[in-house]
Amino acid sequence: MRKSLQFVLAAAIGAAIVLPAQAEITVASWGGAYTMSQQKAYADTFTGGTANFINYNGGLGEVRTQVESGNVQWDIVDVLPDQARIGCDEGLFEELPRDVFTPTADGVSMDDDTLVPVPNDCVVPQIFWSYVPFYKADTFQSKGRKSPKTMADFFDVENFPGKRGIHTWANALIEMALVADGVPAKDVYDVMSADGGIDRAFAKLDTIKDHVVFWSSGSKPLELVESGEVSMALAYNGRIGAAMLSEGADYVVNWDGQVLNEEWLVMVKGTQNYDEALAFLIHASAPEQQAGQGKWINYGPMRASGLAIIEANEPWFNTGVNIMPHMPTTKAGLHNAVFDNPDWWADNGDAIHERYTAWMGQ
Amino acid sequence: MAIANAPSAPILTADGIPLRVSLRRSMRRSKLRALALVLPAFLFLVTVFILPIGNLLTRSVDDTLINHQLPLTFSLIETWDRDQQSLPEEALFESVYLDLTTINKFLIANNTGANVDVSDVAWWLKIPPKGPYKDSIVQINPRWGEAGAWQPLKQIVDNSLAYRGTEKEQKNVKQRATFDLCSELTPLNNASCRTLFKALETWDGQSVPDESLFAALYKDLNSAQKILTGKSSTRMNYEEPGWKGVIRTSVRKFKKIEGPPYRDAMIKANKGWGEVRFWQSLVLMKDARTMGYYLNAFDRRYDVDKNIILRSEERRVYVMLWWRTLILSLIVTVGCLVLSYPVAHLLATLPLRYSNLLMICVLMPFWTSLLVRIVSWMVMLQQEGVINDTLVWTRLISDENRLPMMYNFTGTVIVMIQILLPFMILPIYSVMKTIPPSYMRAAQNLGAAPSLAFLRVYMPLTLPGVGAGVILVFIVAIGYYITPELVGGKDGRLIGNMIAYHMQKSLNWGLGAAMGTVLLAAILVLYWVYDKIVGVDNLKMG
Repeated sequence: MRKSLQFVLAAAIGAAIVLPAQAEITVASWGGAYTMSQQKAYADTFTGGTANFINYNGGLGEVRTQVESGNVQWDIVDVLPDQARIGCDEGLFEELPRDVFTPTADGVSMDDDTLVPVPNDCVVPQIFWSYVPFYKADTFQSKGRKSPKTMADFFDVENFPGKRGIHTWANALIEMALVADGVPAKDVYDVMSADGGIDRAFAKLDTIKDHVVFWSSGSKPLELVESGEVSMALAYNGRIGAAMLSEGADYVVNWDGQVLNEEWLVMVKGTQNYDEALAFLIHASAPEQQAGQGKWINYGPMRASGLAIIEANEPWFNTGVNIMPHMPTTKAGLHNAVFDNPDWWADNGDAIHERYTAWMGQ
Repeated sequence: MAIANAPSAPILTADGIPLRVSLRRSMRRSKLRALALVLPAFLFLVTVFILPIGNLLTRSVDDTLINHQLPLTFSLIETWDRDQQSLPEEALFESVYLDLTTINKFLIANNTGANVDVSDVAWWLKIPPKGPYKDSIVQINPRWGEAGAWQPLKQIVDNSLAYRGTEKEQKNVKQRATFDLCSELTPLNNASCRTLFKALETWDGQSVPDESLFAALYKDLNSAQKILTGKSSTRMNYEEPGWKGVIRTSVRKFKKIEGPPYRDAMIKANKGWGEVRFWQSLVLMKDARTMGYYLNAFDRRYDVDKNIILRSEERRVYVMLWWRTLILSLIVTVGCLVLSYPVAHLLATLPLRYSNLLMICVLMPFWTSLLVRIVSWMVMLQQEGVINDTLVWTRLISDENRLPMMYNFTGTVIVMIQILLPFMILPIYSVMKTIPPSYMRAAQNLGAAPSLAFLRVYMPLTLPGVGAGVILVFIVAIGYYITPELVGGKDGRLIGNMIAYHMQKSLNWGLGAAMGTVLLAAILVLYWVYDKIVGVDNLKMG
């Protein structure tokens, strides 16, 4: 029944329009300035077909539905680190041949050129992004105090008064609370796995509980800070960078205790455009394109060689300013940074999320 | 007498067919025609309503996947004396090892639940990883030695090859067939049996299957096994956090285990196998049907003896969310009713040219995008927003004590009331419109004060509209999700947001489905109560 329907539909469409010579592939991504940077760096320079971007809200719900019903609409998806692992484990993504991807000029293979180990054969390197606190440059000056510098300062509402904007899920907040409580960034996951570690994080979160405004969409923290609703907020570093670089906003970003997250591209299993999608992935993951994305957004390329190109060619941003100070992956920024551990979150994420939801409502 | 006998011969119509038959025939024809008329609506209902809800109900109790993954373990787990708080015997370790590393379960005919025959040596036979495969696979299940076992698979391949269309369509049909092959052999519909497809292409469909077919079967079943394990580990992690990591590292390291005894080697591969809590959680996943998701939806769970107990304190969140959803829906419904009743009355009684204008004012927001309305409320209500600014300017509150009206329960209530108002106004208005003004005048003529006339005459007449509005608003409010997500903040998020989280992010569809089912049941109960109290016949939607 379904097949005959598909056939009729295909015939009708085939009769109605002349099929384009080159295939179109659909890429699901997060929208906004981020998708724009992918459009400019990857799609506009891609000669093997047309890549159409659509927005999605994250999660693998849609992908699982498409794959399991055998009706795959998306070819490529831009996924978070834990989804990259769960989706590959569950067989929702294609496992890709690794030797087809572009090595560096020195002949280092793509998988050896990434800043973190490649977790499985499904993923293709994209970027690093981070959760990071920021505030308006004049916020704490006008009150005649010193300005916040560290993650501990973010959690210190006595010396740095005003509300805090934080997100409605627990990822990164647990890590940040522990860093603020004095745990060195590199030991955060050891503490989280040990008895009492999570309690310690929630105890730290309790100290700002009464001063918190929650946000759930990426543009919100900027509105909250801009309107003065909060004095400091956590946000995606790319959103802050976009406001500073393109709109000239005067913000201060504190990289101390930032939580870096991987972002990968994957191909949806059972896609009808395997060859074109693979060609696009090869194109998008090459060092030049990785670096090219940095012309449009301050998310750090996942490939070391991509970052090297940017560093060597500053000013790199399209408006003619230096982009590296806005990247999360600089030496200074990484000084006390936490790299999100997706395996820990895959194991404990649901339990922590329930606890966090309960905490929010208390 | 003669006349009385006559009717025993059947009455015939003009063409000699008995009247009864002819009548029945024409009745059947008109019935068929009527059926054909309702058929599209019926099919629509089935596909968009009944099937998804059925799917939802099944998912909320279904636990078959994990039974396909661990058939041998589950058959033997009752042998473990779990009250001792000690680890199981070697036999159970071995069965877990076999379930996770061998593909025998896909090859044996009776391979799940109570069908598993643990005395069958097939479960313990090992296929040599480097082949030859045929002998050992046939030993596990002799059926695979006959062409008959392979022919249905060959049929799938042949069907896809027979498809005619553009090159691309043919390619896609072939690709679908590789998935169909795997779903024939395994409980998965997202595994692709590419190797087997190629091997079957060259097989003639009659001759005794040769080694190449078995090698392909072995390879594809092994990759399907990997996917099944991935999905199972997601399921197991719901029951006991940490399972995902245990399975992930185990699968990698188990390959290096040479042979029995397995116990120490497994604990060495991952220390989780040495923890009783993981073994206890296996007991809870044993049945193919589970109430576990429903228990979870009410912050409860099974203990190892299948007694229902409360979940650990910091994970109790759902009961609170149910209450909050219920209370918020009630507040929104009452708020809507209080605001709507006078508006509807005005609409029904004003002269036409004013009432039309008012109607547009009611409908205008209804036609405006939901997001636009939510965002404008944000501008109004936030701490640096219009209302707070006005209050500070008029010195009603001080600058330090701005009212928190957004990103909390209050904000959600205010925005939802505004959004749901038309659902209340319109049914009430449509009923009020039909009440002749003379009734009120008659009541007052007969000596009733205006208030009494309103209470005894007018208000009872509007009840069908009020009932419809209340039901509409309450049902929409109880499942609301977008507004709470955007303005809910700390204590304005509802059960709908949790369902969305489980459907999209955690992929715990079982729990999401269970909560969805509870929501559906709550609405049906409400409808039933309404029917008992007011009577559904009285409902007037417009």
